[in-house]
Amino acid sequence: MIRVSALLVFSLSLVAMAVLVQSASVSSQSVNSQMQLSKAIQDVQAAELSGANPDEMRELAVQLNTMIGLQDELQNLSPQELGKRAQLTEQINNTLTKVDVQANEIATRASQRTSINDLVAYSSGVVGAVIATVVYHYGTLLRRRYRVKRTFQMKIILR
Amino acid sequence: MPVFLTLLIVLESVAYATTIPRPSEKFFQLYMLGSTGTAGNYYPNNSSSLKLGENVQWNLELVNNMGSLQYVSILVKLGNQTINSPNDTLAQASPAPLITEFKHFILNNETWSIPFDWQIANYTITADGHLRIHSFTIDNATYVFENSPVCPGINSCSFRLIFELWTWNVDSNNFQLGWSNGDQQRIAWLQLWFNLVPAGPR
Repeated sequence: MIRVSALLVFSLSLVAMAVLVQSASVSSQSVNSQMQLSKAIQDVQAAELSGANPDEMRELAVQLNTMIGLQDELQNLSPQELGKRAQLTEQINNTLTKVDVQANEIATRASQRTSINDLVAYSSGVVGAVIATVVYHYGTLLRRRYRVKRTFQMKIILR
Repeated sequence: MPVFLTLLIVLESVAYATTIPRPSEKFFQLYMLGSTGTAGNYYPNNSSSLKLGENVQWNLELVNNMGSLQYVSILVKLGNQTINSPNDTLAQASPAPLITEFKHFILNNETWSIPFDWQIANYTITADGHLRIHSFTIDNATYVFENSPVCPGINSCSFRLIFELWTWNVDSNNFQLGWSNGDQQRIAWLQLWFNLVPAGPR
């Protein structure tokens, strides 16, 4: 009798442990996927801040919205469809990884573009100032010459 | 030399003003349009008293003015007269039961338009005269309630659909009600009331 009850307790403990390990694994997967999502969003926002253009941003948003569709599909699956679940989870992770990589590439490109644009804007200021100074200088010179010429052309008329 | 320096300062200031991003207020706009795409004609025959199975066409619109891409979720809840609305001061969500939610990544300055066609699919009146909505049909999908809010009777109760905006918080890795604006928590929500009337001519 003691043996039977001991076996029963042992079996129950094993089942409880298996359930705990399973739920911990699912919970850990969920936390990891949420963190991966946050990282992807942060990288996309960083790309936008670096100066990504609307087309580049739209491409990233389309991929992220596709990922939401996959998440909805995953939620609607029954717990028995393990194969399909694993496939969708992998697709979601791959989409997030792809978005992350693309966002970083876009951020680098956008950052370079922004730096070049800034350089052009500030250089234009210097070039503009030089041109305007030269124009002012020659303008003043010509005006002075004209006034000298006019002075020498003056005639004294007796009244 | 003074001329050059003056011009340089002026033109570089212009360059600075054009290249530096301007700080702007960050916010969302959440609003509902009626069947004609305007702020009107929300209900069939302009009456918020609805019959079972009567179709209502709305368009829920969200505009992102946050300055960056945002992950948003709009929660649709069913309230009655007694359930609390979302609290703007404390930034608390309504305890009303959830019907469904819509999630989307919305670009900066983008307007997300959600067609929201719905009808009451089923309701019952208990022996003591309480009214309970059991299911809704929204965009051809049926949503069944376990514990929906009750009303004292069909002639003395208004229901409302509450729409709450939630955004993804990258620090907490979860959705939060509204959005953070510096130290402040801002929320956006709206509600539309309706009554149930027994089937038959009004």
